[in-house]
Amino acid sequence: MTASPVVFVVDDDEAVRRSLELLLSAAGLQSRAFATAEAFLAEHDPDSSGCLIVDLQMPGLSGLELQQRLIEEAVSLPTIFLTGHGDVPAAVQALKSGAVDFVQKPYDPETLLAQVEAALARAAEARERAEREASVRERLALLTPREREVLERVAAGSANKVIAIDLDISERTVELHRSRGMRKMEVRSAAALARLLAQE
Amino acid sequence: MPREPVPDRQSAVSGLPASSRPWFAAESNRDDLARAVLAAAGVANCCQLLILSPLGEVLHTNDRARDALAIARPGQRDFLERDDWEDPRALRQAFDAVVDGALRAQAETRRACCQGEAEWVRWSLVGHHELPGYPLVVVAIGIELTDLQQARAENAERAALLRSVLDTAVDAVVIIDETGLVERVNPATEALFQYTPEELLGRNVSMLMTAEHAERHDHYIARYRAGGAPRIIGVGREVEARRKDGSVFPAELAVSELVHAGRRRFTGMIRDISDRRRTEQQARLRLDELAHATRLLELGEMTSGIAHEVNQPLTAIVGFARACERLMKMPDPDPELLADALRQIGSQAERAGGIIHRLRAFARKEHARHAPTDVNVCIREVLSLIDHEIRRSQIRVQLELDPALPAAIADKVQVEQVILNLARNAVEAMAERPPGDRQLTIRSAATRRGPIEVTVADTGPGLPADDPGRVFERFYTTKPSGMGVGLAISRSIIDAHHGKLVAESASPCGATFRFQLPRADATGVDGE
Repeated sequence: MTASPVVFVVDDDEAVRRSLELLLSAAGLQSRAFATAEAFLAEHDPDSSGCLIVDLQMPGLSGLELQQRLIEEAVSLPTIFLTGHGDVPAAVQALKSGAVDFVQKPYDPETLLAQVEAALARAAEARERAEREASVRERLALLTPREREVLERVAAGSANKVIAIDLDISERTVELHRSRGMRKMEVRSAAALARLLAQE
Repeated sequence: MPREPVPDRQSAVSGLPASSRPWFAAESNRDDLARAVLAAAGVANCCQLLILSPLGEVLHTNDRARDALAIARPGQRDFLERDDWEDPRALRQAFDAVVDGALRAQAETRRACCQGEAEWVRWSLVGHHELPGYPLVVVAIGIELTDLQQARAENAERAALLRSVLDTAVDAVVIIDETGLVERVNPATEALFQYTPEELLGRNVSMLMTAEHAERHDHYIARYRAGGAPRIIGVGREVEARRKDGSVFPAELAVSELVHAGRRRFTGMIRDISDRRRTEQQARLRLDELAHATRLLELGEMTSGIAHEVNQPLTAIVGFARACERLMKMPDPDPELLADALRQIGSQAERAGGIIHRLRAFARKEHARHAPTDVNVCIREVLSLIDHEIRRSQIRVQLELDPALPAAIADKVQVEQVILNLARNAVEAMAERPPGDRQLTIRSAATRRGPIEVTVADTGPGLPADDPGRVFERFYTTKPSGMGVGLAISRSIIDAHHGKLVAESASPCGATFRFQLPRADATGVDGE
């Protein structure tokens, strides 16, 4: 994934929207703004990375409803809610549903930017982890059943001799499967293999 | 006055031997008797003639009296005690006077005749002592009055009636000629204006008005004399009147025109309405205060929405300002971007200021000032106050504002209060509807010469079906936190604007509230 992260802004107030765009761009961040949750959903690419700043109260789909929709569609987008005065119950619900944060209007720009950075970091981390997991899964898919049996025992710390007895094959055959499997998994040591498999 | 003859008169009759006291003269005597009386009276059959006993019994009539009074059988008290005299007392008094010794007496009688016309007769009653066999007879000669005589008699009566009305009238009555000079005043005029009749008669009536009204009055008179239509005829114009001591009081003036025998006169009735004015003013002040209290209540309910409303521009300002700061720290800041951000900061500050300004205007305690008002502006300002509530409630707003709406004569804040009240009621009424079915429609319109009409319609559950008018009752409410005074006050406010606030259920659902305001160009100068 090479696309740089984008901060999505959804707020029905044009001035608030434009000021957020300018602030984010001044902070060197890419942003895209939408006036309604519907417009955002219509254009949003589920694979794009970044975070979402959304107003809690909007005509049409509200911020909470948008969050719910994203959860249903399994889109993971760290979300920061903008709330007005006295929206505490809604904000609490947003947090329970997995929002990263919420900020009361008028927000402190530095705090908001820090929260955006944190959300983006969390998004990047999640993406990296997802990519790593995907790559492990790809490599595992290359193993033969026998290689997989051998590597599972290697990762668990068993010696070749023990594995040979366990699988009722020669120690030489164990060595063969082991070296071929380690090459496929792109690891050199038993410890590295153990870490990789633990991530899956 | 006793109805029965008094005893001494009775004894005068009973002094006769019973046989010579016939109820009716003997046949042989009748002609002599009649002839003698007719001769004495010097009249022929051109008048009604009756001969009565001292007891009031009819002894004899001529044909004219018999026919006119339909006396079938002489001897009854058919004359004095008839049912059809409008008022028999005068005749009875005259008769009693003659029996008591007066030489003659006069009385008038009036009774309804066949074709609904009144027969008016003037009676002369004379006592006679010379007739054979009678100590006394009373001869009644009735002359039927001609139309002219009747008219004169009626005129005299009317004049007396008019005098009595004028004398007892509570209102001042001033009669002027067509040049404005006072011809006649009633006693109440002196009581009201402190001028004696002598000080007023022959002088210009404008001395009873304030300078401003006097000038206008002279203008009316001049225009009228130049052949124009009289502008001052009518009922219940309110004017400012001036007493002799110079003090001014509000008065109601009704003028009627009288043309008689080629002369024109104007009659003015002037009523002091100081008390009514005071009462009205007190009611207005009470309404103003009540309206203000209700406004504050309404604003209290809107606090959170208003805070949000102010928060939006503040949020934008904070964002723009910090963005500028960051941009300026960059090695090569884009001046165009900075300028735009600064412009935005300015306009957002103005936006916040505007909300505060409208709030303060709305909360201000001020007595109603009726001035030309753009109702479309009122509607827009109200919508800006409840923009947040409307958006949060996901309500679609449809504005149908007449772009050529003439100005209304109204108190801006109070009109906004009414619109706000109706709009917020509509918003709350639609809470239970699915979001797609929530529509608030506000319409302004004016017919060609008619008043300005504002309509606020929602798609909520509508009005109570059994009695739609109940929503205007004080303390009627369907809101859990409502006081139920908003609509009652709104109706009072519209009443004070000479309009009417009505509600009806709409089809297929919802409620429609409608009210009118007078248009500024329809209220001309007083009396025009």
